Amino acid sequence: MNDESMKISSELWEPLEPEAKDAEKIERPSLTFFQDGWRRLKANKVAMVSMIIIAVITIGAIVIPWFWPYTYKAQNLDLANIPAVMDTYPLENGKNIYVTPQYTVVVMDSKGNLEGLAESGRKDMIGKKNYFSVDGLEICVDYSLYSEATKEYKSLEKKVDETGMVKVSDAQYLVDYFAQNGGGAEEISLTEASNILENKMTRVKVTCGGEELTEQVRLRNHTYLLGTDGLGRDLFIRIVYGARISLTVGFFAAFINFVVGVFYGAIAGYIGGELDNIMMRVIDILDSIPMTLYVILIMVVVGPGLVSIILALGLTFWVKMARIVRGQVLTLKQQEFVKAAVVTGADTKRIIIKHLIPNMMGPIMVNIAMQIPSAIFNEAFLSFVGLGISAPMASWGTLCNDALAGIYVYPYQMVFPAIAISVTILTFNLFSDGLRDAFDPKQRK
Amino acid sequence: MIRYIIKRVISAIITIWFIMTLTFILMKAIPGDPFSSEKMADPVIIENIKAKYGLDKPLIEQYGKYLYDYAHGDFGISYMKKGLTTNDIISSGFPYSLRIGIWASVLVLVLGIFFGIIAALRQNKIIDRVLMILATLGATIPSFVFATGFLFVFSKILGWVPSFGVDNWKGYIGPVIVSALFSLAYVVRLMRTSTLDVLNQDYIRTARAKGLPEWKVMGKHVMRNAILPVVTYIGPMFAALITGSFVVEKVFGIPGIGNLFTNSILNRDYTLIMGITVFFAVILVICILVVDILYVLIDPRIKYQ
Repeated sequence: MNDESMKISSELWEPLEPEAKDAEKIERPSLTFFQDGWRRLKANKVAMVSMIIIAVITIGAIVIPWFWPYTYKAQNLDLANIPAVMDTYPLENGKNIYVTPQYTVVVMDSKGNLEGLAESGRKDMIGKKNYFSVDGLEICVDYSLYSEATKEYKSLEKKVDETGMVKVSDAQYLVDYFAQNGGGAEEISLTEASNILENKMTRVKVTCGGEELTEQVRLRNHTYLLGTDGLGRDLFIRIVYGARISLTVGFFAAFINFVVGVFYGAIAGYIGGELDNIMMRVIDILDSIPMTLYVILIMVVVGPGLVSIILALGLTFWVKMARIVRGQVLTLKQQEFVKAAVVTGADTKRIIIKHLIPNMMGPIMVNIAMQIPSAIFNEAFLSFVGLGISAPMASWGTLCNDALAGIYVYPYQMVFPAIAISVTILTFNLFSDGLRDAFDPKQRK
Repeated sequence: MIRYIIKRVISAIITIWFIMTLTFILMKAIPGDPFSSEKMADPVIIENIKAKYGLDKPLIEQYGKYLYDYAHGDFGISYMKKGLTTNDIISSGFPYSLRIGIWASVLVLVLGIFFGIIAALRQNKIIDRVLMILATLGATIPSFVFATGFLFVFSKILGWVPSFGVDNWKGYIGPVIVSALFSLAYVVRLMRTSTLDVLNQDYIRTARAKGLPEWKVMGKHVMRNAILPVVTYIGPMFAALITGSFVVEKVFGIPGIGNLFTNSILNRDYTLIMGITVFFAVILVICILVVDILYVLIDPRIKYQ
């Protein structure tokens, strides 16, 4: 035996380089499930922007009504149907006037702060002229041209030939229009004639003290940010209240959905056996019924209103959640930590609440986020067909419904709520997609 | 196969029975009865009317009569529209909804499958991005916004279509397009995802490797397999489209069944509500049943369970 070979060479006893000691060290802090998901979510720009927009809408919906000068039901019938942006005529005294589609005159200052209706004077029904006085100035709104043109158009409709064409020379307003704008067509289609009548012609001639006002200034409505509705209520605050309703419905429906769906699914999945079988058959049957139909029927039973919408949506929307949760539970309950909990004597309730649900939070959260826009969508739909929120309360669905009657004359009343609802649903959808990618990548398709 | 069909038919019948029972319970749960609000001072008259509609009998008897009548296709008399049966009212409105539904379904399937495949083949190219943005918008914007937007542009500004009613074929253009949009957006996404899935499969590589022309690969191998998820969606979609979209019928002023349903609810016409609900449910269940059976025929991999 060679003693030399048993000897450990002295260089092996040398201390390690300081860097080598760190090789095994965990450099970064360990992340919990939520920190990890949040990190991934933050990297997703679309989802982050959507989240910020949702936050802005939510905070706005809560805060704005506190300081806004109008309430959702304060009416001012004088100032009904005033749009957000108006083509106004400036007067000599610094005031501006706006002629409404009913040929009345609204007075405002040069910045667009509304001052009210102009004092109405004589109405010349035969000459088609309305007279008003603004601070001593006499304003005359002459709508005879348009009303003449409408009459001419009516007679054109009778003269139209089989091809749908009409002679320009038959109607004075068409002759005048082409004389002003060039283009000397002899025959045009009836559709074109109607288009010129409705969209291209100057409707009124406004004179002030005998002089015709030709200069027009486009002014923003400084009194009502988005204009007023048919009863002179501030459209902006009504949309804000609509946001309150929609968000309340969305969050509460998601909450009920969470409570019912999660526990139903967890109980079915965990207990299993015959009970699971029955509970799943019930879900199959519920699933084959169109949910909207049942939301409507429940609404009929409990009566329209915010609470019943939330109830109806919450009671019918949990089916998908129950399915997802049951699937998760079926896989989770085979794992050791559940067995360990059973061995230590935890009862079913404790296992479901303390062990199973926290381990499924990812899919549950994602599914809730997806149900919120769907609930908002349904609320708008129900309110639109007249089964949801009732007057004077406003929701985006009822606002759109109210605007429907006057859509051709006051399209802005439809446009703003429509934008609000579309943006909200879109951002919720994009956000829930991001949430899914971050917290539950398996669901990604 | 026969056993599978019988099994499916029985479960469909159970579903319909369940829906009918639930509807019955819900309708009976509404406080008061349809005549309590009417100003008929004489209680004798009210009693007589109740007797006429069978409302004086015990609930269980009413339920039995309800099931019996419905099973024989008799949906009862409308409470509010004097002298009309529910069957009359449904058959007056349903043809409009059916026509719109069929055309909308055709539109959804043709365009949805076509654009879905295009998007998958040009994955992450401009056309794919544009289609996906459009599909997202289509699933986001509510149909009443689309419907009014459509009317505003094509009826008010361009004057191409009538703004109200369905007197000629032009009146159907708007309703068909608007009711198709939501499902179209969904089908495009579905078709894109499943086509991408199929394109990555080994058998497609094999098909290409043995030198099949591209159109044959697409038509015989890709399409046939990628279309399967869409087939499952056809059932509920078709049912939803032909039972009429409430919103579309309201905006376009079509006297279809969706409109009738909303009105029956607003008028509290309970027999009509019950009749139309069950009618909807039957159509839905039948559509799902037919598609399920078709599915087994199309996809031999699926076992009849």
